[in-house]
Amino acid sequence: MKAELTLNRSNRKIDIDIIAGNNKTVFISIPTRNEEMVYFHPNEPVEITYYKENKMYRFHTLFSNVERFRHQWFYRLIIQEVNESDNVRKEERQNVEIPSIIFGDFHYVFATILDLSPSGAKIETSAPFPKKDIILFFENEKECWIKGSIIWEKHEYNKYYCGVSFQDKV
Amino acid sequence: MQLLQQAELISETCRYIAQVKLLIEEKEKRVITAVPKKRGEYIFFYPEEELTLHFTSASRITFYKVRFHEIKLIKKSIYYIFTILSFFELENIRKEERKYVECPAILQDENITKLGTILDMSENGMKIETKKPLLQPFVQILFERKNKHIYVQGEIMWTKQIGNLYYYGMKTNHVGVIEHESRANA
Repeated sequence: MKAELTLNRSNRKIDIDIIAGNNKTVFISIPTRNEEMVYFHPNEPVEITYYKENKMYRFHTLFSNVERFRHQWFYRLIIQEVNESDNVRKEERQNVEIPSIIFGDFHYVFATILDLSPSGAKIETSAPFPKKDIILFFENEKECWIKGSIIWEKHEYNKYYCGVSFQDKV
Repeated sequence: MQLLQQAELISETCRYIAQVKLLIEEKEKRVITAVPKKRGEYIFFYPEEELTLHFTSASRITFYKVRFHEIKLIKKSIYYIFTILSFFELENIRKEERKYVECPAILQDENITKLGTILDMSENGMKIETKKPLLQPFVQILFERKNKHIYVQGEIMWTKQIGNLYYYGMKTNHVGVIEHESRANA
């Protein structure tokens, strides 16, 4: 089952697989960020979000340990609390970490795309961007130049976050 | 436990992972390290994963080839234990100090804009990783350091391909610095 794990320390979400679980424990694939595996200290809080149809389930867990079963390694998490709410997302969102550049009217800023859907993206930058209408450049499987508009902005822990709505679908 | 030494941890594919504090126990043929941290996250290795620990002094560069062994809880702190596989030393012939970084860069190559990552940097050179091959021997490189946009001209000295990624050793000439623009002063 596909799910997402929230990394509070770096304000990131990572796509993971829930391998198995019951009402006390959940086993997940080892989360990777830029090809490196992320580790948690014992009893460190780990938040997992699982989407099913029009519902969203948030599991508040504590990291327990690393285990191996049939040549596969996974993390064991102990469930503390589960919250259920409506899934208000209109489209499927892919959690990524893609270096990119925002251009617009002689301005540019280095950016990182944090999530990507067919009609928009969430972007992190180290400086605010002065224009609403932008061109986003990134290299995924191919080079992408996409026109878009900044529709929301947020400043958290010395980083700037914005939501970009694409004029053309990716 | 006091971890007094510091080394660079390098992956099997020669990628810099992190700076890590450690203690070498030569007799037991093992290295005890703090849990390495990168981009704010702790890093995990599979048991048996092989890595290199790399120390640089003014005269020598020392390499320890190690294998990840286990995670150990010692006095309420978590440590990684590595087994030493081999050890070798080289004379340090590097003319300049090299800093490991992970810094995005815009590359202008034959009027085509490409993205790259600067992996290490010295006063007159850098190592760059790209997804697309570079076509020209000279490229313009723009990157951000300490809130300044720095513009350099790079000349490719060597090239290497590992998997789908391309690596370039560049000799660089500093061209200019552009102060950061923010919404406040835009």
